[in-house]
Amino acid sequence: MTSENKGPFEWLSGGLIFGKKGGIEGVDSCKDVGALITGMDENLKEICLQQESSAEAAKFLEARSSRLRFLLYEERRITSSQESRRSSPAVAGATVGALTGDSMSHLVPRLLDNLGALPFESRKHVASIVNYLLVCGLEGSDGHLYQPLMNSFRDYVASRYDEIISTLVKGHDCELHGGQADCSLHFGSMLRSCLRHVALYQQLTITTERTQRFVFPFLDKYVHLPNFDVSSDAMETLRIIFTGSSSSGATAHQHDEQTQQAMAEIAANFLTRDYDAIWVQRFPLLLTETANYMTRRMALQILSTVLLTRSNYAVMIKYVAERRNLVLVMKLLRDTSPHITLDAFHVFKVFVANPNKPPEIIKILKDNKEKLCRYLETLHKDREEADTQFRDEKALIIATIEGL
Amino acid sequence: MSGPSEWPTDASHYALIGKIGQGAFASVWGARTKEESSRDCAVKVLNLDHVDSNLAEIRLEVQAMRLSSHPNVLACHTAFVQKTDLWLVTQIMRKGSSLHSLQSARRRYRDENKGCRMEDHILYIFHETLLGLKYIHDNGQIHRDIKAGNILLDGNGDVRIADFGVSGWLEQAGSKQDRAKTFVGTPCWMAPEVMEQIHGYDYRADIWSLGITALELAKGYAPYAKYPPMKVLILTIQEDPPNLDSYDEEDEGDDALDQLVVDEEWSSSFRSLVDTCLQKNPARRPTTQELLQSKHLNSLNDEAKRDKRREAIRKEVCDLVQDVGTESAESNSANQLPGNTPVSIVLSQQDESRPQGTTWVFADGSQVLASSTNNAATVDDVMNDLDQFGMQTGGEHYARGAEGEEAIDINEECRVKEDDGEEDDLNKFMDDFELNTGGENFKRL
Repeated sequence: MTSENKGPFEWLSGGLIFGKKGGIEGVDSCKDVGALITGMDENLKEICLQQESSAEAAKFLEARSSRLRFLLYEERRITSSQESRRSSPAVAGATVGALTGDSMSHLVPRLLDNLGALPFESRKHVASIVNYLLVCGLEGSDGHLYQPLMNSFRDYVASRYDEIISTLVKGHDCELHGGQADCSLHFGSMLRSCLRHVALYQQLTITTERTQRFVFPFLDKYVHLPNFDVSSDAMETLRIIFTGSSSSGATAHQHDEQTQQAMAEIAANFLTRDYDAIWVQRFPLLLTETANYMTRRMALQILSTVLLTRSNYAVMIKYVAERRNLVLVMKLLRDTSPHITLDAFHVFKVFVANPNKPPEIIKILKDNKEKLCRYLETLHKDREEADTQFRDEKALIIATIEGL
Repeated sequence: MSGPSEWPTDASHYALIGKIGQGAFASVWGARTKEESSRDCAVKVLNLDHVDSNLAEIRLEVQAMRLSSHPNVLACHTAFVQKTDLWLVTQIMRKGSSLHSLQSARRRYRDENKGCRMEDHILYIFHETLLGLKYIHDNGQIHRDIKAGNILLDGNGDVRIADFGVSGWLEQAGSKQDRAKTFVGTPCWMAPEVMEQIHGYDYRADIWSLGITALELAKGYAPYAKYPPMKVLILTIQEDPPNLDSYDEEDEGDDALDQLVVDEEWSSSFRSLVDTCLQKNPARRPTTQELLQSKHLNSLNDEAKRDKRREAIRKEVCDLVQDVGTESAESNSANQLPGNTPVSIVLSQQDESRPQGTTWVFADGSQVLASSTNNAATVDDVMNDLDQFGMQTGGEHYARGAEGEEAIDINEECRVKEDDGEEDDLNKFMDDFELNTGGENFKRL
């Protein structure tokens, strides 16, 4: 194929999109990012028409998206293995340029809208490309080379925020995509990639209306879906929305402190502003036994993280002053799962440690003083030896209750 | 990948037929759906309460399966949570692990005093596994636990890679991490660079494991299988790579039953294929693509040849091996249903790095070990406490019983709440409480 040397138009008119012989092989060796992207656009139009030619177009879309993904990752692999290379990455640059440019700026939203109509593997490729462009500048020793490109893609997403984020959020509903659970996972991962940017994260909850549209579907529906992979993925997204922290355990990365701080403040802001809708009306349902075990465990972790984060002081004070919250946490404290009782303890301790406990909180604690102390005494006793912080905290909590 | 007909997401819609395997905190079952046209499947029941509490890993395992669709990778039909168990519904592979199948067939041949050559079958399994592994690598994942036990055979000779339990994502959320840095795997199959933990490792660690798997299938054992894990690590790092002559099957097991590989002569091509995979320097190991195109395997890329080999393994191996997960294969399963399995747990004493101060980030949770020896309180103590505690915190049974002061307390609170217009809340709490923590809960303990 000599098509690489031609402009995208000639290349297309060479018959590739209509699948003439040898077409796919041409895609597999294509290095012209612009041509790949224009080709994907043509293929997508064809697929959406749902005509005979759609199946052929789907094959090409798969080949093209696969090729684009390969070129992007391959470029990264090569640059990072060659320390001396300092030039701006050409493939990533051309990709961002084409996708955000006037003629193709509709492509990403359209691909996302029709994700369920794409072939199984293409969905992965599309998600992978979008994710890559959103985070390529955040990590790695060569991250700075990618940062300007990443930021320009971020700005592009910001400029079509409602459209793109709505699609990502709504996409969690498998029914929109012919019951394909894998689509939900792709939308989840792309949404989380967006949320790694302060600017995009902030927009998500900037008004109550936005919160209702972009966050509540997770609380009301997605975390309760019966499919484990979908609901646990939704819980992970929720964790990031509530804590502003995208780093978890092993995948922790250098999210610089300033970013972390900014995200924590954004989280605190909407968690306080929409307090009733979140903490009174919705979140408790994630902790009662109507929610599945995984959801309860993850929700309790989110709760303890939120309450013990300094920037959430206002939420914490309000939360631990409410009787029904204490009752809920006390129930969790005696759950049959040791994981849940341990996490519940770390929420319970805040109720007790609060220096300005309202009378109704004091009353419950006082009424149950003896039993509580006796129960806490045995709670995770075996843990005390190794976890001195836990031991000390427990002793302090018991002493506080006894002194009431 | 979910098909047009959804798989049920409720345990009551599945009949567990026979146990296929039992791990520390998980069991695998042959099962079928209780539908009009019932469908066969395998169900892995994993107790989430007993698993290392890194829930994220379990989520990623299921996602890895869900996002795979390849003839050589085990597909996940659905997954759901039932009480504290995760039910993972997958395709059923009737002959179980490839090692088990090969050894069973060898046993049959030996008992009938027939000779058997397994090399072609091993090459076929190797090649099929390689196709699946290429797919996994192309998806940006490393499997990290490639071994014969995780390579499953179906009755028709199909081969699929199972158990993404530890697969790491190199392409997590778009950014390809240069190298994974977690210490996982099964010692005998682990590549030296995985053990050394100095430079991190990449896709090529799986190629090492695949080489070890070839040895395992050939000899019936992985090299160093008789040594404790620590010794395996040392030997793998210090010694030259193992090969078909470096360890003798007869030394490895005391059990005469397992001496099944008697006189098979291995071709030089097979020997060199194994050696290519087992190079200590990962940079010198081939990629899946390079292996597929190597002269050792090139011929298998031909569909007709592949079909012939599949047919051969079906006749010469699969047909001699009993199906897993059937009634006959597992007779005493009745009292081992997942819900009935007695297990006790305590939280690990192993300290984990936690941030100091008031901020308690609980991303990781704690480890849970299987042991019941450290329980401080007896079950009776705890039950008693819980009983009392329930009374105190407002169990409806107690409140309505009006037997003690506590009950009166609760009623008083009710009235107080009425004034606040929160009566509904309290009543709802009482209802929920009965529903959720009523008598049953205590009995279950």
